[in-house]
Amino acid sequence: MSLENALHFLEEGRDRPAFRQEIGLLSDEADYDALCAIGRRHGYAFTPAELARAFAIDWLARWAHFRKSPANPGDQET
Amino acid sequence: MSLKPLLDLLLPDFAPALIGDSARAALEAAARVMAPIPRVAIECRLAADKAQVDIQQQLRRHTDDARLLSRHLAGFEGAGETPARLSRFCDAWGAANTALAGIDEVFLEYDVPGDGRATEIPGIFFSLPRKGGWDTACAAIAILQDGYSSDALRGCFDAASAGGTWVGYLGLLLNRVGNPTRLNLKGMRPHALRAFLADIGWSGDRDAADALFDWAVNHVDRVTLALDIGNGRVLPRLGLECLLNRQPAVERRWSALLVELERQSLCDGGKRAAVLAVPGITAPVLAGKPWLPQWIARSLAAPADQFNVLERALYYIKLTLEPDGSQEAKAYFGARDVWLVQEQGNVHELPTVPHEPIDDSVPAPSTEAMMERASAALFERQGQNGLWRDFLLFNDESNEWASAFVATALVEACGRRASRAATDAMSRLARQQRPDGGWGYDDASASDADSTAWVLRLHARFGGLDANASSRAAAFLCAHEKSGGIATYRKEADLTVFAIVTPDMPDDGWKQAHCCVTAAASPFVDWDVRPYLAAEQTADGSWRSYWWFHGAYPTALCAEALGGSAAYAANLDAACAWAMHEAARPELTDFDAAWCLRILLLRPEDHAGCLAAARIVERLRERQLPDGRWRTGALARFPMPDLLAADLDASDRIFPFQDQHGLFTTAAVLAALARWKGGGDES
Repeated sequence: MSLENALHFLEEGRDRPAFRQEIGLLSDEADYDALCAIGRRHGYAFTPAELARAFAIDWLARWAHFRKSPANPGDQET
Repeated sequence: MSLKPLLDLLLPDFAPALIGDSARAALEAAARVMAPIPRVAIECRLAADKAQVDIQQQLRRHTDDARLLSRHLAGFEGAGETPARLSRFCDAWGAANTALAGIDEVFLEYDVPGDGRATEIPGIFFSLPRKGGWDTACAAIAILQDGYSSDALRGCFDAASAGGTWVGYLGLLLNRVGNPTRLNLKGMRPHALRAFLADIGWSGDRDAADALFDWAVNHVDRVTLALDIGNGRVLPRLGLECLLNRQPAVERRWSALLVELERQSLCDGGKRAAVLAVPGITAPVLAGKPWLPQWIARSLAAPADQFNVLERALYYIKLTLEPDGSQEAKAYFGARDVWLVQEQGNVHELPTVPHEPIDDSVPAPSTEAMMERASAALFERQGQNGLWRDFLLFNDESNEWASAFVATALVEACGRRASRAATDAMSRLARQQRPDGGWGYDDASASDADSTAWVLRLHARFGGLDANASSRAAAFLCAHEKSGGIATYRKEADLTVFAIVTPDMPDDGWKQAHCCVTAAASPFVDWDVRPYLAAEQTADGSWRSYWWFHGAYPTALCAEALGGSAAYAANLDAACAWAMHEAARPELTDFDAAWCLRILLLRPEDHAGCLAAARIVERLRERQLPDGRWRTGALARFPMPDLLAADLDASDRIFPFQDQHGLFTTAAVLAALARWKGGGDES
């Protein structure tokens, strides 16, 4: 169980089609236990609290990344 | 799963003045029995002694909501008839090609008394299509309620249709004594209310209803009328849902509305401040509580540059007129997930419903069809008080100037078909004429010559002002004479109503003669403005305006003012040559293209000009939006008032603003197409 596992799970979840398909099947009925179970099946053990914290970190990191992407030259200069 | 995690994210942004501890606990208890569909509305009573807070859940068609609710209701077997009926309704609604397909959304309204009683079954509201609403309503009622007596309801649908309004939502309040039915009527105009209430047998105080409705439509963008039917008749209670299109951060009329309600003792002062503080966005990183797992799952299935946030919005203020004449006010807030995407350094919201695919096989519309769609778009966007709003300038939109312009275009293009819209607009404008005889940018601004000229242009085409009002308006214009032309504001005008103008600021720039205003007002003043206009024409044939970045609008108006006189033929030739040149520029906005078209139509004998005009019409045909409008393109400028025309090019103290709703552009194109049709050739 770790926050790091949860962060890896989020990263992998976006990148690997099989992962995405499995998560997509949860649809709007996803709950934390189901997401943790998918993580376990793919070798990532984490608690619901760790997943919630990891998602907030992941969200912020993505936001910062796309603010500074090459499409935003003004941001890069600053 | 329940809705409790959503409230954990949402409720911290409601101050205790708005949702006290007991109401908060009651809401959380209610949320535990609600389906995990995370879109809600929170209903707060605004009077100081009213602590109850209710909650509604929103379900949308084209989502999985109907199936989710149906599954959730399976856990309520044996809890009475309503859950089973609601489940059947969900099954029918979710199925394709049913009679319920016209329902776009459903609200489950839970009363949460907060006195320890369990949350009971919800009231069920569903949207109705504007066409075929009665059939859809009957199909829904047949599932949800046995033995429904529909005579009074039918009477309301018929009266609504006769009065030019329609039933937008129907609510079956199965959780209230007598199972009343709620009707929400959209598009009611003030002059039609009294006859409608008489037609449906409403027994309340019609004078009070008239006065409240008239007050409401003049303070907000839209007012929905809410009526109840019980025991086979329309009950003497009346509600007004008062909506503004923008949120409080950029719309100060919310604050003004709440201040007025506080003055009438309908809103507690602490609640007023709390209402304005709710709207905003919650992002996962600042939420302080776990993000909803279904939103995490959807985020993982979405591209990495899309960001899920919780939006908190102030939906509307509802005023209820009780049979005893007393009133109550409530605020309704919405909470839903929205998706933001970062693109080219800008953040924008993804549409919740995908755009309709464009069918390239559809033949290009005729000019009549273009005009029909454009005029329908303008009719649709007219406020219930008869006015249009456009041109956001420092948190204020124009209503008087913009309305006179739009109504003039509609009358020119549609003739008698615009009669109702023009009557409503002129009737409201007539009521808002200032004691000095003029009108302004909006009803709070100082009167000005340009707005007054456009009201008089509307009057010249359509009528609507009595002789006294029109002569006072003309006298007002004549009082703006300056250097042979007409100034926008006269010496004594108070300009400090504009947010960034201070009392000690020089204002000579706004009080000098302006060519575009002079041309607009030229038919109504008692001297010949043409020498002034001719002298203002620039060497390239255009006129440069103090208030507009591009020269097309002033050049068209000035050229039209000089037209018909052989003495100014050379001025017209030069203007047409300039318009020919401008019309070839691909970056020309649709607004400026429309005015170039009008200029070219002043020389119908010029073959090259006619070809250029035809190309403009083709370009406008291609660029009309699916909803009938043209994209915003009327780019105006707000120079600081001390700046003289000669200083504009070198100054950075000029603020651009434009018709953010595209109504001014659409009206300009419509009027130009009307002139094209009048003497044009489609071939």
